[in-house]
Amino acid sequence: MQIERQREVEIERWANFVRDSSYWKEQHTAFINAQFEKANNFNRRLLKTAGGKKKLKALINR
Amino acid sequence: MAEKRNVLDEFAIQFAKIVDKYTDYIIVFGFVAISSGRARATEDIDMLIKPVEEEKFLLLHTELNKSGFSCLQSKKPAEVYEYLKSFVSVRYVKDDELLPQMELKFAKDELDEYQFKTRTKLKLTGLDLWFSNVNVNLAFKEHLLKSQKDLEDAKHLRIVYAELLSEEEIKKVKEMIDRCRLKGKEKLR
Repeated sequence: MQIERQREVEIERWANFVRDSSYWKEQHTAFINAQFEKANNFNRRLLKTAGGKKKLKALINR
Repeated sequence: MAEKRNVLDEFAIQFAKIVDKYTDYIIVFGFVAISSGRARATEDIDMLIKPVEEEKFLLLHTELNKSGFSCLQSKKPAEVYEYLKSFVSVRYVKDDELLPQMELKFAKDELDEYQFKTRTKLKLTGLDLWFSNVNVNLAFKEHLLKSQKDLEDAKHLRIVYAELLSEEEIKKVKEMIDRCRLKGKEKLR
């Protein structure tokens, strides 16, 4: 319960920052890009492993 | 100086620019919240388009292909069209990267029509894209989708777009959701 409340407080804090600041987008862009870079790099590494292609296909069709 | 765009922004802009030549579109659900600053991950962007005839869709699909977008479900445009016509969504990726994906589907009912009628551009996103309006998104997230992620998105949207909120419209859309999406499901149970 306390963890959920803490999470809510953080969501509110960040939403208020987005509403009130003019530079949220810079931080947000880095955050979003990092996730895709990481995921796509992983997929490329997975593809090079034995059975990687099959696993990737399963990921697409999950 | 132009604002630096993230991977999802670029992907959405390029895809929407092509779709816009052939039919109306709206971006719905998660990307509305994310492009409005919500700090969370997503694998896909959800786009709703007004249904088009097969011939027109083939032109759209071909142009998407030429611009590096490919459909994960099928390479055959006629098959992709069949999915859409049956109101099954299809996914496009760009340059053979698995992520991000555009989940595309045809509008199907009164609720979707309403979303098109009230579609909007959201200045805070910094993107020249059509989105389903904030109140519609809140109704979907709070009344239909209701996962923790969706409820957190709703909380975020309520704060950043406080001036756009209309509880009356949210209620109206929730009633439409009951009629169009939930009533049928109850019958199937």
